[in-house]
Amino acid sequence: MTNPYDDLPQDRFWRTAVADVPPLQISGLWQPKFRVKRRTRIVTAGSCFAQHFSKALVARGYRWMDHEPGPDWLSPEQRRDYHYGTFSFRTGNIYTPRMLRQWLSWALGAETTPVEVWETGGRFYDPFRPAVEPGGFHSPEELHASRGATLEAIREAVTTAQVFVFTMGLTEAWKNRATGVEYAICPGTAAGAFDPAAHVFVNHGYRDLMADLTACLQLMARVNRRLNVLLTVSPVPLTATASGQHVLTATSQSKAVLRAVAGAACQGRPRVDYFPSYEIITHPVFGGRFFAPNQRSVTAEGVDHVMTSFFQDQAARFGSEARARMNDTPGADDEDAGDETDEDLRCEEEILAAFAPG
Amino acid sequence: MSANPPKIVIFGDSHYACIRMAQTGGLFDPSGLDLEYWGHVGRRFNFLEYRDGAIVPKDEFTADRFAKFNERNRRFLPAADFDMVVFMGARIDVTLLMAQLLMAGHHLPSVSRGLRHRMARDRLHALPAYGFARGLAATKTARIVVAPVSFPTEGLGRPYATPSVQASSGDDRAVAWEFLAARRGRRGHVHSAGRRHRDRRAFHRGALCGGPAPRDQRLLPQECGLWCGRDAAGSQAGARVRSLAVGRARLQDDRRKEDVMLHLTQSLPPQILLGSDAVALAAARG
Repeated sequence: MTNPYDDLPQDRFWRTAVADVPPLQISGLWQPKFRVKRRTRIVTAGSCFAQHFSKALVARGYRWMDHEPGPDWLSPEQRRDYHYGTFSFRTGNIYTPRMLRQWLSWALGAETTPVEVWETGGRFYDPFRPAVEPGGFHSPEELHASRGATLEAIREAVTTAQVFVFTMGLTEAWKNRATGVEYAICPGTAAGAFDPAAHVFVNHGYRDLMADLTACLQLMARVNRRLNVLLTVSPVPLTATASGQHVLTATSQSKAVLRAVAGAACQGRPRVDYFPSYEIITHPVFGGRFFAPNQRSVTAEGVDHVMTSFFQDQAARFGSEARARMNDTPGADDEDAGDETDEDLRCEEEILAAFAPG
Repeated sequence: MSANPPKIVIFGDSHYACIRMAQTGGLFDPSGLDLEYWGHVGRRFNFLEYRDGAIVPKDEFTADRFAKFNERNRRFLPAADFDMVVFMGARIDVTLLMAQLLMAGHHLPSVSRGLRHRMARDRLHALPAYGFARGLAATKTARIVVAPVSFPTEGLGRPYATPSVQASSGDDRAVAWEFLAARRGRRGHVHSAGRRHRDRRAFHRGALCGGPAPRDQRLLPQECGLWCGRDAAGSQAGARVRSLAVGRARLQDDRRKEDVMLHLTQSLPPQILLGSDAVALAAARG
């Protein structure tokens, strides 16, 4: 051996792995650390793009766990609008590691659940999941009871899951200046009222993000030492930024920092892995083909390519399982598994678009 | 008797005949009313539509069938011709919805009131005949009363007679009814059924509560008819009920005689009134 590169496989070299390969045939982007089998209990949380993940798992007969499925008689539209079956629990989108840390802390008893509620027109909204209840709750008591059910679902999910998939979406957020709790969305957009004296913008940097994500991993490991965590970064650009930058450069910064945090979190942690859905969608080698004309939404083709890559890389590393029928009942051997619905993905962040200048 | 008696039409499927039965059975006296019946048994309802303030048959055959049983041989039903249109049964079946509302309230406290309102709205709006009622109400001419299909009392199993439904209390049932009542309320036309009704009668008896089926249904329509006819007529008469029936009506029943106190309604606002009384009476038997 004359130098360390002489015996490296082809996928370590740009020309043989990328330049000389048709984009859709680029493979092996992920070398998974742990196996995800059809019987593996998988929990999903995170930003909008995480919804694709759960739907793809369900469609392929994988055992995606829905710990807050809601009444089984609800129509698909009702389930969609009330965020049943969107994630493994009814948190709505969790965009930042801080938000996940909050939810885990409340669910696992590490912190007291805040009492803050947002009132708009006599209806009450949960500042940490304002979109799960269209029209708001009838009373603060009802809101807290509902949140309690969600916290119980999170607790159950974390303690029983085998794989926890978390898709990080944003570094920007709004928090309460006095209590420090971070909101799911800027007050005054979907609900509540913005108060510059009470609400403050935060754009998390690497150190804060890493600290929050590490805390999340520790919280989960404390109750489930065998839990594997799969991190992804949402490829979906910011709808709006309050950072003072152009939204494009703000997106670049946000995603770059999240990507760096995800990579670093995997190092030295055999139970934490990163799946590169972000790269598969956004990398220039794919020429933006996976974005819709608005250059933000990810196309069905893109989602399919991401998930195909996921399963191919799993099979390459661990061997393939017998193919499940696409119409298999999700988690047929598990009463807790949710139903697949042909629903649109929900992205609370898109509410911000409504406030954009025409 | 007024020179211009209130004009009421009873519109419905086979349920509408129960009011006729009550009338012919002498359970109430329709004098003082200009009372019509316009309806037909079940399947012909598929050939009706709402159009321009009226319920209109889609074909001549259906128009013939409905005209045949109407005193004035009406071939369509315009709201503007009446002071009140009573939807009697009329394929507006809320049995499953009520069971689901009870289940939601009993076993799933995290299911919000908002979601239960949504369940009620979606179910009602999925019923074509309820769309007729909304259409007629939108004309702001006649007062519209809707008495849903009465609850079955026999042969019910899942998904209706679940343990949580069977264990439901009067308060649970009252809450469930409120979600239906709110559908009226959101249109600004709330009919507040008497609390005594809701607590003691609504959704209370029969297999829905898990007990032995107390009665067959053969006598029920007449009783329903009595109740609804009286309620409709009374509410039409003015701010206070002036019943068509006597103050106390004796229900005809083989196994038991029961006095039913007259249901005194309060002043009733116009437009859609989702009358629970037919169902309430079904539940009250036994």
